[in-house]
Amino acid sequence: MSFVSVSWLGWIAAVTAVFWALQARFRTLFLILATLVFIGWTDPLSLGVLAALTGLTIVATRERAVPGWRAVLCVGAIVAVLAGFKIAVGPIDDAGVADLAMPLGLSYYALRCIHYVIERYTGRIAAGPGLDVVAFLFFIPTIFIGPIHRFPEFRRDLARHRWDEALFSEGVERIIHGYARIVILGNFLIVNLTETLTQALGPDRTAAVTYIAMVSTGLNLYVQFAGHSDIAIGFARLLGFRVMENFDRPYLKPNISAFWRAWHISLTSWARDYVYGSVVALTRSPALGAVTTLVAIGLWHEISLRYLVWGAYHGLAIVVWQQVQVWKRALPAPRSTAVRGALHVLAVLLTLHFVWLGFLLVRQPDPGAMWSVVVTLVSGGW
Amino acid sequence: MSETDPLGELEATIAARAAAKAPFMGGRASLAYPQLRERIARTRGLLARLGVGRGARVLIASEDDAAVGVLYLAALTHGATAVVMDPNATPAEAVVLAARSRPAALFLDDMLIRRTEALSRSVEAPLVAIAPDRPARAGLGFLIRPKATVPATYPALLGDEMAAEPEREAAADDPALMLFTSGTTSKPKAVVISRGALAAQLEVLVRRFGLDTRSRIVNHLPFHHTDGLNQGPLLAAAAGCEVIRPGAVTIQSLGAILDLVYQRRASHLVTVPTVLAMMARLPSDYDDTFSHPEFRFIESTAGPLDPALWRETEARFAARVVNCYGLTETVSEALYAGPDDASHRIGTVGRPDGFEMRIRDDAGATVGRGKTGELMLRGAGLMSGYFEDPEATAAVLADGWLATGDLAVEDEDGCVRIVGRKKNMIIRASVNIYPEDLDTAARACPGVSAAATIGMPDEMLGERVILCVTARQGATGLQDTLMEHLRETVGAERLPNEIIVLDALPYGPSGKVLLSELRTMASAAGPATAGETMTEAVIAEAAAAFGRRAAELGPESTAESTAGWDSLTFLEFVTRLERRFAVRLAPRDVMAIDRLGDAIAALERTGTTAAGALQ
Repeated sequence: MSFVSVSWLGWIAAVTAVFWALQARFRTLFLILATLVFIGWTDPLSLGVLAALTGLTIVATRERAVPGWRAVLCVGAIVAVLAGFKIAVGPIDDAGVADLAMPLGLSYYALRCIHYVIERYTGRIAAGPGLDVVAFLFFIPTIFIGPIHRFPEFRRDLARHRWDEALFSEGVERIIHGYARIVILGNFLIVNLTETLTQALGPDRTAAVTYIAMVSTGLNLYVQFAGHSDIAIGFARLLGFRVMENFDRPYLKPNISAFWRAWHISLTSWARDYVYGSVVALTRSPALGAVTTLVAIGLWHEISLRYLVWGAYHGLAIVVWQQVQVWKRALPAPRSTAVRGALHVLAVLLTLHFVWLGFLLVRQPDPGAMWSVVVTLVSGGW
Repeated sequence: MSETDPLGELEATIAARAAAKAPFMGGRASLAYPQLRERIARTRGLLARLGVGRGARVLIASEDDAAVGVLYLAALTHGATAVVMDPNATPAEAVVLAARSRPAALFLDDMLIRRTEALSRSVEAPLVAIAPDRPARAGLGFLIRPKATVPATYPALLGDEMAAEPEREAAADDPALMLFTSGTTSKPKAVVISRGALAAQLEVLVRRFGLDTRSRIVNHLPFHHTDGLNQGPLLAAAAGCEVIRPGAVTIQSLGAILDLVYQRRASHLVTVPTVLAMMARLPSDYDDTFSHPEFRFIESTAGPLDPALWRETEARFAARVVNCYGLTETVSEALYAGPDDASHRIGTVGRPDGFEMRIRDDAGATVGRGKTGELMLRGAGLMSGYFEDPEATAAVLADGWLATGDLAVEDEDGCVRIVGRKKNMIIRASVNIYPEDLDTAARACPGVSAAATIGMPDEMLGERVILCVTARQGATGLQDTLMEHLRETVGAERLPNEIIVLDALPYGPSGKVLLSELRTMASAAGPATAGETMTEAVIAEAAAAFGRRAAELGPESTAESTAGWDSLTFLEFVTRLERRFAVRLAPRDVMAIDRLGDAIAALERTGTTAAGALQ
């Protein structure tokens, strides 16, 4: 199932029309049913997996105070299911946005379940109506490709739910924006431009060709993923829900820590809250927390050596950056605005290239191939 | 329809809205005009069957907003007098108030009847129990068909009642409503409001607030207070609009109440200054609560509104706040600062509407603008008097003028500022508390030899109630015993915030307690609690970890509201707390810290006290 298709647009239109035509009290139920019908129609097996995880989540958290052992068991089981599928499916060909061989939306769905279980365990979320939880987990705009929105915000949106013309029009705008990003910027401009440039350079200039491939990968990945998020956020707005943003100009950030706060925000904030938070609460070590978190993010994409390396590459970069901040305190800050501006631009470019290189590396099948990309960039022909 | 009955239009308005199938009550209760009309007519039938005639009193006390709304409107259109009492009254209070009002019929919450066995023994009038229509169901519960219930309680029993026509002979002077304002068990005082006074108030409110059939009023105030009852179901029925009842306001429920204002696109919010102070502490994601074009204004009533809070609320929520002044004795409101620009003067209660006003000195002479004196009011909206209490009535009502007991100054532009209180009364969170009531109740407690109650300023509540007592010889553990005694006699709404046991009360030459001296003694006697010190310690550590000034932080501070609070500095904050308090917080507690208040709670759970902190 492609989300850049006329049939998905048809679903969006049909679900939105029926949703608003119904009486308010039936709308939540309808959204759940629409999601169930869609998954049942495209992939009945996925429906079984997601329903099982939903049942597990609701049963594990049904009491007012969720015992620690049960929360651990439940989160463990969800992680096992997710990891089991990731291992069974094996490496994916491209770092695409939809892992179609997996049960539909499982990567995102599992994280929402874990979020709910942990929040119930810590007591930050009070036990609520089961229908609200199912509606949250089976929310059609975000179930398949995120953002990994949060239950408290969703429940508040349910409580505040009303027809809002301005929000609806924002939704339409956002969907058009998303499709334009994917189709015009990504599929047409970036792909064609890369091809033209690569052909113009010729086969001998290996370093330049690799560099173009790196830039193209970085740019296209962003427009594709941000575009899909736009469609999901826009669809949610058509239904009167505000879903968290997923990107905040990530390629304009001056350091790797800021990049990770602006890239795939719903995933990174999830990982910060539940992976980093847990590791740091247990060990009191921010460095270990950062590396573990980024490795977990890497393995969430795919359980493989290349993603493990990619996660560690980013995790260690954050540790280094944090150490640099400590050293920086001892140095005098530049007074000139021009110097500060130039340093900022340099920092942005450095961060950008570090991230893009990471994206190019993780597309290689193994660490050996990763290394040869680096060698080509350094010693190949420009 | 009688031309003399000023409330005669009510029935017709309800009928017209029933024909349009409009909603009448939303929020916690749910009732549409067609149901309302039907239930009112059948309730009139029930009242007639119970022998309640024109002018007879019907005592109503229930937490069921829909039931109280229907009963009140049914009593009014039946020509009877509604007496609305606090459903959480203590058993002792309920018995005394029921006996005092001598009702022809009582409609009380089933729970209240069960709690107050003496009630059914002490009154001879028919007693009807109010209970919800059917058990509330959550989630998928609506898929299950409710079991048939035996209609022994109101409103279920209305199914067997015949509808009855409204009373057409009621006159303007007939008593319509009676509300208890003070007294509890010792000397209850009830304000009697005529049909004419009610109608006069409604006319002003509908006009002034710009109400029409599209209006949606959110009003969370209780029905045994005039602003809940008369600016709730009655005002909605008079304007043909909807009243939304969100349930009682607490720090925990306030967010949900504002969400309801947003979701239902409310046009008016009727609230009190304490709630506005609570709103000021909410995170910024509530700022858009009043952003819809249908919203007109927030009405602040039943207590003095701090000018800074007024300005802050208007600026932050981009909504106009109309500050109103009134008493139960004026039905509801008498002076309004807004919504028009001319009377919307911050720091004042604006100008009178529906009333004439004068400010008099102690000799009874009217004082000029800029001079302080007692605020006097005259108009069609005044009460008839206190129920069967000519002495108390004569003390405040003479020649058609009501002495409000409030000291006021009229500004140059005709707006009035309330500058003090002549009467001995404390307003805590918009509930009027009479010190004499507490003093009397306290003195009845074994172990207490003397008692005097004072109000102390409080940022959130407006005033705190402090009860100062002296103990009889040999009395021990007096504070706990006395608090328990008061809980049973005066009820939760009037309990003091603090009881201070003193060696002696300060008396003046005439034998009266010197209140100003008592305030000084109470301030000196009230020690800072350990919790306050703990809060300060946590804020100090947060300030150091996040690089902020302590004054910028409070228990409500979050990562969103505090610059410098990120995952790294947060860890430093936790480490600092653990070092300072010599504890190790559990991972569950560390992960649950969203606000500084959570850190305080987490530390308190470990049994840590600020006194035990390592400095």
